[in-house]
Amino acid sequence: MSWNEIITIAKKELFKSFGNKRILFTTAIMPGLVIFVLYSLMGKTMANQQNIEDLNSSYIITINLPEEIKKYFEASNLEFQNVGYTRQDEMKELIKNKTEVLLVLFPDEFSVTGQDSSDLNSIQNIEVYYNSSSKLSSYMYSKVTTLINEYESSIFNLFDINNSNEQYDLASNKESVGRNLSAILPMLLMGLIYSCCLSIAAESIAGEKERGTMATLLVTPVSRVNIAMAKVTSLSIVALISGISSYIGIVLSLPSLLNLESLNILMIYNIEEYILLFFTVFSIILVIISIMSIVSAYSNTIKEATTSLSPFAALMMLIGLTCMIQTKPASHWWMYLIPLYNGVQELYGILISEINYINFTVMFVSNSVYVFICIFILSRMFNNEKIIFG
Amino acid sequence: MKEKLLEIKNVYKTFKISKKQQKILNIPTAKVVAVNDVSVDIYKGEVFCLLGTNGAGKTTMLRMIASLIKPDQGKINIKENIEKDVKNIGFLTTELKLDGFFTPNYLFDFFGKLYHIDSNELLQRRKILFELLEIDKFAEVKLKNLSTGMKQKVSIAVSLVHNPDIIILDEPTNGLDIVTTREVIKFIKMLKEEGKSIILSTHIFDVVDKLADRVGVMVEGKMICCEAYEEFIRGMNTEEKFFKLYYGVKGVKENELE
Repeated sequence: MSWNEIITIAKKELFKSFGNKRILFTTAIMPGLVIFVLYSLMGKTMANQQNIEDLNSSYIITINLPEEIKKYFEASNLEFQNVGYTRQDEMKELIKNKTEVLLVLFPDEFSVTGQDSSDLNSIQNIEVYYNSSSKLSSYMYSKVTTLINEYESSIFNLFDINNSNEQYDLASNKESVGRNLSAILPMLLMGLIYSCCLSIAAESIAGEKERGTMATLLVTPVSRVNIAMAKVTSLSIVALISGISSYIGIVLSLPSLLNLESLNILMIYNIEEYILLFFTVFSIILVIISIMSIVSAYSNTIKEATTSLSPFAALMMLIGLTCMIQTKPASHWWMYLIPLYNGVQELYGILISEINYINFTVMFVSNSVYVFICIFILSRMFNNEKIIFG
Repeated sequence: MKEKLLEIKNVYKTFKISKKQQKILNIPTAKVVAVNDVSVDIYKGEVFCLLGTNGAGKTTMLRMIASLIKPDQGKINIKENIEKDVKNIGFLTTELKLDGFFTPNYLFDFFGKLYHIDSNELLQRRKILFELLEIDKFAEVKLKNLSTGMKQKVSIAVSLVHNPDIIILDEPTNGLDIVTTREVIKFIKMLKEEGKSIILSTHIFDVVDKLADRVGVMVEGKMICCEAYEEFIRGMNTEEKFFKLYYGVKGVKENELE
């Protein structure tokens, strides 16, 4: 094996990828930028929706509002306007055409005390009219009914749950952020790695076959194993840069997406965890690139390669989804022998800071073995005249 | 006696075809014989022109010599260049293309490194070849921006980066304008004078007339004729001789042709 040959070919591939400003932008900058913009917008949209609903300046209409509940509403910063019973139909009409938000109609002789709860016939009915086609009206309906229910409970209050400023959730910030990250990051990362690997793997092998530049390389005295190794290495480097760009985009957009206050999210993991994260992602990329390279070598055109690889996307997303379903990462070491699944499980473990070094080693070593098997298959394919000349 | 650089002995090559292709080509078996028991020797300092129609087996033959594919039977012995520890064959074919993203300078150096050429020698070699082929003027222009003739010149230079003794040129003047064709023919003559052995496959009889020392004709995978150019054209011109041989194999009578 000549490292000089591998480096020469890999350098050419990298020069081609990064020497072109357009390719450089689409592989190294665009993935992160697109994710950052997209997820920040998603987060902002969700936050805005919440803000609209938090705008409690909208007042509600009440009829026969009892004094006790009036005080309770005031204490809860709920604005209201009490109107006469005769205006009931007028108010309903206004809610219907979304001019007013909500009408709470208390019975004439409404009393908050002296009711016998065991007598079902004596239970008083509070009528709350709203318009479900209006988001604000629906929201206010939910808020007002909750308030009234709470008030009812408070009358017969025997005990409270967590009714103080004490920190009851004992999970650390790192754990809760890690849990959030582990639910979405592996799936997102798998999707992104797939899309960036797809284009470069299809271009680098099927594209070269299509253009006739692959045969030119095969005429040289360089061994087919070295050519396969150089291809996989350079493609993995490009994919890794794309993956890092995507990861940065995800991390920078997470404060918006998860409604967190600052970028401290970057600081929740230590150097060791970041190193493990890097090697895990790199290991996943190597496996994906190796598999894709084989499919790409079988194809005669870029189009054929991308079509053949498209079912792979569903598989990747499905594997990424396992983190959302599972309560904890796979515990048996042999499960870390399963390609791609092992990487996702390892990512899951690192993100929630449950690192098992045996599992990590099994994942990394087995993936490296799979990559070498793929390189061997690829080099055999480069020897096959039917594959090279179609 | 001339020094033998390449020996091709009873070479046989078949290809498997799909059932669909079998139906289209109306062939009873799934195997197609591309090269059928071909033997020929190539000597130092000669231009061996290979004539044949499309599908005659010329390209398969050349691919086997360039060790891109292996023969099913037979042997191809190439005299190694002891001084240089690299392949002693340069291969130029329309199938082998250069990446349009790179410049002639970059590609020449890239292939030079793959042939393990020392950087000083590579510099010298580039200077000589680029000057001879007049590539200097566009050495820093990306290939995708060059004309067909310019690209062909770069391909020739790259295929000769390691200064091989045997040069395979598969239709080197294909698609070139008259000026570039003339330049390429002149360059091939110069290579011959340097003592290089050239195997040249072409459809252009004029190229054969200008360059050939010996001529081989392939029809349906077989080498039906292999003789010195003077012998080949005895009593008739290249074109007449070729069609006489070709229709002879195909079983078409002269009067039917007329």
